[in-house]
Amino acid sequence: MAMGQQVLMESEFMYDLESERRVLSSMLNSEDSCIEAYNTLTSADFYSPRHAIIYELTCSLFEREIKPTYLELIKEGHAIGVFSSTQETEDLRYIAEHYIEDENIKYWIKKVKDKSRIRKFESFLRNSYEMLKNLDKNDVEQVLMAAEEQLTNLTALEIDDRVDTPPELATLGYEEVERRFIRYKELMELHRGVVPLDGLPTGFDNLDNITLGYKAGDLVILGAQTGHGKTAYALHTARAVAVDDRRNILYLNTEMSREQIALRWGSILSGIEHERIRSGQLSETELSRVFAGYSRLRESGFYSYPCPNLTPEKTISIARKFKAQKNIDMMIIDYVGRMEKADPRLQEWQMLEQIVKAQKMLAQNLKMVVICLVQLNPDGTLQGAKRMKNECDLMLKLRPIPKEELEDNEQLKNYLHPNYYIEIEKNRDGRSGVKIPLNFDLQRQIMKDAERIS
Amino acid sequence: MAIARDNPLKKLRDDTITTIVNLHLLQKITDEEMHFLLDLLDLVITGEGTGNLIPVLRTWLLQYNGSESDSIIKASLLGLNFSDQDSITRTSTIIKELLSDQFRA
Repeated sequence: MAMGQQVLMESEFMYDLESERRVLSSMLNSEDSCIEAYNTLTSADFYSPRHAIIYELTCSLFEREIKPTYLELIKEGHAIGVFSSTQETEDLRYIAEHYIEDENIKYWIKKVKDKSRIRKFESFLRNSYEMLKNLDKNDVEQVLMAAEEQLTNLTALEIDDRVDTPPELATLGYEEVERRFIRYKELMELHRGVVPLDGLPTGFDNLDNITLGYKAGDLVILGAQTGHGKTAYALHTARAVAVDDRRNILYLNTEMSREQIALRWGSILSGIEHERIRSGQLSETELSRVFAGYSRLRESGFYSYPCPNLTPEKTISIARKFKAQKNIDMMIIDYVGRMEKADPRLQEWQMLEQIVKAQKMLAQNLKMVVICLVQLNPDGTLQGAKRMKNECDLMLKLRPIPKEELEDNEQLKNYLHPNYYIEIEKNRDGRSGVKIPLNFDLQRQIMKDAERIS
Repeated sequence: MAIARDNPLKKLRDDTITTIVNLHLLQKITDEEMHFLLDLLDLVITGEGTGNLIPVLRTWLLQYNGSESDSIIKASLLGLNFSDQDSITRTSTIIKELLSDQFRA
């Protein structure tokens, strides 16, 4: 191939500097674009080393919650000695000035990504050619197998995908069993029968014992009828994870205002009736208790995002942002039925199914727990329940215990003031079909395991 | 594609940032001076509490003659903490006093 042809081929097929500039400029001008690029690209996807550095600097600012702007990038670059000539600052200014609209970001990211994959393919061809030149006739089968594996990785697998080889899977199994064996020994020797958790606390001892906690990658669905404790359950979980265990969580609420959420916390953390906190009817001592409660909230990892017009896309975007910036371990969506439909032609159950599928993928990709609250029908059933059940790892229903059952069920008489059940409808990692009696104090918005009468 | 020139304020800010950084790269201003100017620009553009600082700086530039007071004023400005509103107010007052002393002298 003539030298001129080779240069032309490289410039046309190997990289696309304009696409790289557009992605970077969009990151400097829009948070949504920044989140999208941060989660889709790596600096290795950029052909220009300068662009790769700008991308890394932008991501570094974003992770530290500093809005990546031209000025911040200049300061950051200057501090680590990246921009050392006027030409470089002029180039950066060009990038910052020529930004694209948010909705086009996926298109330009794909262009950058495609070029990156082409370069990897080119590198594969070069390596294969080198191997071919030095090929020993006895190695043919081995070389072809290695080439096939590399090519398959290039065409079929994205960054997050992986195929476990038999040795890898065996090692993983060995490590998992060993970990559980050690935990069991600890349980017997150190914890004296109290089960150590495998994930985040649920806030209920009995549920912890059955599930061993909410595990990273889990999608949990909790259903309850209107006015029967969806938000109380969500905040009870938030208390166990973010206040008591000091883990970072994100709470998305589609119904309540900031003030309403703050007041609920006042009641939960002080143990004073919600209605009295709302009306301000408190004694001096009670006021001190409420303030002490808020001090605990201040130190917690609870991040709240009231959002009446929440869409499935927005949940993904905001979860990615908080994972990058706050390393959240859990996201609670209160509640999915209030989300706006992406397509108005969809039936309610179809929309719920789509949301739940998206949240399961999100939980796995971001390695966190996602809890979706859903509304039960008046008869206690759930629309599209079968499909939701397929997707989730843990399906729970919260419902009041009927008066007749309280009177007739001998088992319940062993508990102190049970009035609600958590029913485990599905549990991928353990027992299901279990009903856990609870005591739900509606006035104080506090839930707890119903105490056993000894 | 949107271009920053559609937004004159953004264009002005980006041009000014580039000018300041290039002055430093060409060794016309020091590292400290560059950071002062970038921080000042940020404060002016965001419109967050410049207090009395801008009119005081204008007056200073009109009276500047390379005197000892001017050196003190410059040193005070370079040590200014732009994230501290009290520091901005204090520095503005000191500069104002120095300028009136200079004017009387």
